[in-house]
Amino acid sequence: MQLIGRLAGAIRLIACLIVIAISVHIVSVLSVPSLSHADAFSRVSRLAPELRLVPLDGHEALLDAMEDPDIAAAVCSFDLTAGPVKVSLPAGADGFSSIALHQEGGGAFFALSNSAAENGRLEVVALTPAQAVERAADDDPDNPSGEVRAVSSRTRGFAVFRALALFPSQRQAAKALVARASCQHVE
Amino acid sequence: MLRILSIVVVLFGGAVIGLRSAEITLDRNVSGDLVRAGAWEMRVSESLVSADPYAQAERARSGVIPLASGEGFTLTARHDSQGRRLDGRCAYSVSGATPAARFWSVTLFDEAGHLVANAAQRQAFTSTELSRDAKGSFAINVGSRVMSGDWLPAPAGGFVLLLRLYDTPIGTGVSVTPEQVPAITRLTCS
Repeated sequence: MQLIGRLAGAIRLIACLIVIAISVHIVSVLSVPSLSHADAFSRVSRLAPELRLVPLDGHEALLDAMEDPDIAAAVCSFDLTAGPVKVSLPAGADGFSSIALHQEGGGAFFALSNSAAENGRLEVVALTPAQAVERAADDDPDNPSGEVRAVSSRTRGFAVFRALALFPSQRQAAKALVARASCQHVE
Repeated sequence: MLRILSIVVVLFGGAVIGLRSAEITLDRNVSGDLVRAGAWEMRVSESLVSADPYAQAERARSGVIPLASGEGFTLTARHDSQGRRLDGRCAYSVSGATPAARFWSVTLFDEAGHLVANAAQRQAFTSTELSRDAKGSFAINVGSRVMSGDWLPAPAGGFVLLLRLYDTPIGTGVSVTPEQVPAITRLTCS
């Protein structure tokens, strides 16, 4: 009897161990995105104050440790608490350029490439769900603004501007293109 | 006394096993969304806000900004089409189809993830700078020894190829089949 009792006790302890291990595993995986200081948003917002454009030269290795050397890129961080933010980039003559909007905590909530450029520019307004409702209400139904709006579920985030140099000789031009991107609050 | 000791062991042991297993899983990059096509592998939900929890944690630890759906998509090859590890002591030909994309590029990195300096100053090819035959086909020759045609110099050891598709429907619900990606054929080894 005593042996069975001991065995039952041991099994109970092992079961507890497994349950605790699984719980700790799940909690730690789920809490990495909010606890990490090495995530893309934290790194971008450490580079410069909000809305200031920062060109990413190869040294920063922020895009990707294995980034395409033919890509020129720039970033700016934003905070939608003070109002919607408009980001824009000249579309460039040919080749590829794009804007992507990422939110704090990771993940892109919007992206646009120059195949969808209008009037030679890529332009998008990032806003919160509440700001989106407000802005849509302000729209003149007879004369819609036509602006592209991207709704984010988080208030903070960053924009990435990319341009692809089709030939090595175009790398300077691609850098110059992303340097002309802009990020600003709009009314 | 024994009871308290065993409770401490269970709590402590559970915490250690839980944390360590989380760390190992994330270090190995084993989130469930890895998809293979031919020699290439890709992470389907890498850039999504709703990526699976492991992918989100890996992304937060690495701090990289992946190409978003709508911008492009990245495929990685560490092995040739026969499944042998890519090695610069061998020569390879990368040719065949590429998935639908407005532009694409192939970049070579060493196994540590660095670009490889070489006299030809060539680390990547974009789709527009490759020479094409009458049918419009391309062939990128990869290896550490000088090769004719479009030569992408490799280091003398292991290397990795990245195929980036710009402006592509891939990643927005469209998947890739082995017939749509370039084959990586091993030619000779020294």
